[in-house]
Formats: sequence, structure tokens, C-alpha cells
Amino acid sequence: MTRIAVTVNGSRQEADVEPRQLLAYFLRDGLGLTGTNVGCDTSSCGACTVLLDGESVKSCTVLAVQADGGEVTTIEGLAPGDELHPVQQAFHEQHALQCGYCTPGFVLAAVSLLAENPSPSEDEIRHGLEGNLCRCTGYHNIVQAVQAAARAGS
Amino acid sequence: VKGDTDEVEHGTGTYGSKSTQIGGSAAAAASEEVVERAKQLAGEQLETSPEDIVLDAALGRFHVAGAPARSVSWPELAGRAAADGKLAELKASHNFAGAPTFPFGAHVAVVEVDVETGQVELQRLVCVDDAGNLVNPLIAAGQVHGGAATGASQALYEQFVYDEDGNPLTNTFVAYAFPSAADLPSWDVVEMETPTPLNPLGVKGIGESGTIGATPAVHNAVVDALAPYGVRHVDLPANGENVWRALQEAKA
Repeated sequence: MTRIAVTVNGSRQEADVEPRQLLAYFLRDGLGLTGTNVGCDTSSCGACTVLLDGESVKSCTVLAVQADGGEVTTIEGLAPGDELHPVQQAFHEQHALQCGYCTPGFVLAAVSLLAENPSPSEDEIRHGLEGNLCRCTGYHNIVQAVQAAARAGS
Repeated sequence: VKGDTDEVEHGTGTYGSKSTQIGGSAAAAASEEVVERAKQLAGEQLETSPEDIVLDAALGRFHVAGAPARSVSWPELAGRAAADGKLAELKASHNFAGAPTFPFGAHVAVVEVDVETGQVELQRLVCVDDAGNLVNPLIAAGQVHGGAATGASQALYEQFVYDEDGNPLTNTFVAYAFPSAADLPSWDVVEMETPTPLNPLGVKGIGESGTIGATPAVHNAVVDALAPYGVRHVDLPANGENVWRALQEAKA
């Protein structure tokens, strides 16, 4: 077991983890933050996307020990207080989610995309979100939501 | 109320895209009965005949015809009924069994085929799906978007492959081709509403419409693109190796 200390959603968490434990399972099982979803076994679907030190990562492909000393933002930590984060609000208004399983990953990937590119073209949005899969929405309204969030200046 | 057999006496699944048609029609009939029952109670509470009670649906208030000041809201009505032990009188239950309806539409696909590699790009898909009266156009469009993506994906990407011994070879997303947003265009959805006479709401189903039109439209577009090369058919997924083989066979 290895002792790690990770700041998750602004709160310092210390835990003993096995070196082989994936960050996704540390968040879900260790910390009870089940907003981060597991949708595949192959780093393909992006449902597990979180922010690690400001970068979007697939938490199923990061070891918890790699996050030692770092800062993680999960979907639970995105909204400031009682209001939705502008990207969440845009997803809501644009009907960019149906079953919602891919949504936490998409929202965090979109937050990361807009942080790097505040005014992306449709093509840049589609390629920027290549790592996240969705079966329900056909991606159309997800693209609309990212464009709306960009216009709102998030 | 979701799948709680304590609350809902009987029902079936949502197959056939029938939820709004059947469940919606039953809910509409039940709500009309609730309004009639409410007027009985409002008449008692406002001390007038139920025939003289009017529902202002926009305000959510029952009032005496010609005297709008003498009124009671839904919450006030129900609260007073509960206090009088009469809340159960506001409950109504309806079954609706309707005939199948026939949503219709047309899809047109534009593809570009690289005849050297067989790679296909879906550039545009125009979808017209008529589901009768649209209760929620935003959700209806979302249904078409998702169905169009799945239908196009069946035409171009997805394939479940087994080896000779029946072992699945495409059982993770590493081997099973599943499109991302980068692989698909935005959808051109054209709204069309032809109310059906077969239920009181005039609604049909939208859930399956996207998938039904998209797959053959995209498949046909690929074959159409390759027709000048003598290709008459391409196996699904009509992309990559299957396209390349069809071209080789046509040349032979």
C-alpha cells in the first residue's frame, strides 16, 4: 500500500492505495464520488474524464498514485455553489444529454477544451471531443452546447 | 411514476415508440376526468352548481362563470378537499388502447468515397421524420439526432465479428468501430407534423425514426458514389475494406 495525498474538488484527501489502483476507482470507491463513470475497459469512451492539475485525463488510465500531490476536479466539484457551471447550464439548455451516462466526461472534456480554445469552430469542437463517446445524442446538441458555452464566455 | 406497479395497474414496455401515443392519450383522458371531478368539488366549495364552474387553465384557478373573483386555485381546492377527507375524489384512472400509427419520412445522405483507400466520409444527412403533433420539439429532435447517428454508424462503422469457432473478436471499443463526434456531421433535421386521427393527441412515435431512415440512406449513397465504377452493392459496414473489395471485384 502507498500513502497518497490528493486535493479533490478543493478538499485534501489522504489515503492508502494499492499502486495498481486506477484513479477512477479511487474516486468512485475510495471517495464515494460516483459522478465519474466507467463505460469501457479500454480507455475508449471517456466517461471517466476528470481534470488532473487542470488537464483533462481519462481517470481509468491514470493510477491513483500518479495523482499524488495533485489536484483533481470531478463533475461534483465543477459547479460553484448552488448554480450550475456555465458548461453544465449550456448542456441543460441545449438538451445535450439524454441518459446522462457520458455527460460528466463530456462536460469536463468541454471545460478543458474551452480553457485551451475559448472560441472553437465546429470542427475543432468535434475533434476536441474525439475521446468521448455518446450513443444517445448523436453529438449534435453536445456541439451546440459547447458553442453556446463559448458564446457565454465560459 | 416509473414502473411502480403499486401506482399503475397495468402496462407494457415502451416498444413500438408508443409511450406518448398510448400513455399520453390515457393521461389526457384521465386529466379531463380529473377536471370534471374538480369542478364538482369547486362547486361545493364555492357554493354553486358545478355546471357554473369554469377552469382558467392558464391561471390554474376554478371560478364561477361571470364572477372571476369567486375562485379557488388547484392547491387550494386540493387542500380543502384533503381537509374534508375528499382528496380521493380527485383521482381518475384511464386505459387507452389505440391503433398503430405510421410515422413517415425521408432521409437523404451525401458521402464522399476515397476510391484508393475505400474510406467513406458522411458529409451531410437530411432527415424528415413526421411524428404527428410534437409535444416537445426539442426532445423529438434529440431523438432524431441520436437515431441518425446510430443508423449512419450501422452503415459505416459498426460490425460484430466472430471467428470460425464462434469467439467474439469485436468485444471492446478497441476492435468495435464506434464513431466519435469527429466522425459525424451535424444533422439537417426538417420538422414536419401531420397529426394522426388515431388518437386524441394526434401524436405518433419518433424514437425509431432516425435509425430507420439513416442506415439505408447512407448505404445507398455509398453505392451511388461507386456506381460509375460498376459497383452495385457494398457489404455493411460500407467503408474501408468492404468498399475497396467491391471496387476490386467491379474491376475484375
